[in-house]
Amino acid sequence: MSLDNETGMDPPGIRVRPVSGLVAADYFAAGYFVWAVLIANLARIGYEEKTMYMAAYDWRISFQNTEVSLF
Amino acid sequence: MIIDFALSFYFRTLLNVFPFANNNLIDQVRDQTLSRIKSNIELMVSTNGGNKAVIIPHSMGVLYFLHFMKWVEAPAPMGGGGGPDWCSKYIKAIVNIGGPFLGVPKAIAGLFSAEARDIAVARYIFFMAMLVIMAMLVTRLHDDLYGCSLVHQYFTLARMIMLVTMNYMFPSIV
Repeated sequence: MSLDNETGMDPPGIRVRPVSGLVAADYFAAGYFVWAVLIANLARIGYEEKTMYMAAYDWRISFQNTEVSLF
Repeated sequence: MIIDFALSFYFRTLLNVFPFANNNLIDQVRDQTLSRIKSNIELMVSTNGGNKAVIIPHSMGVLYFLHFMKWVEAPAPMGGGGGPDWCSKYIKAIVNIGGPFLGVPKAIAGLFSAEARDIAVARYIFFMAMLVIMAMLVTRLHDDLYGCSLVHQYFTLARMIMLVTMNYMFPSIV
């Protein structure tokens, strides 16, 4: 989980990336829901994968560094 | 149909270790998350008959989305180059949950009630509050009179919900 002290990005040889999709944050751990109940209830009123999008991001790095392609 | 768009602070991690990977090419390629968010909103709006997106950022995601809104309207290459009207073109409403805006009144109720220990209670209040806030915000957006004071509306609502929560937890002292 820790980052490189110099660049603030990945340490050499290691990549940690956020998971995409609704499963990225439906449950934090087994039995501890985050978005699961909201997703389930939105599904009941007609939302589906086409109309819901989970924007998971890497909270370890600075906001602008979530964008850069080559550091 | 309104598009839902959840911005999440929590994530599960995938740990991939590539001992032989070329650092310059693989390790330092990042996610272009802001571009993905922009493209996804544009895609979802265009595939849903032009209905704008409802954004639900949570916790640090609230600050991240503020950053996104600045970034997307800033000119390329530093920004997303969406033009000065991108947000009003694609976003219907934003429903912040637990955003760190220099403290929130709800924190007091949270401290006293320890509501996170009891998922059933937290779950009930969370969902009711979500529904109320979403309904109020969407209604208010249609109303020209209140259209420009969304933040004020939100905090009035947050105060109301906090009082209801306190009243529910501690009927004797509120």
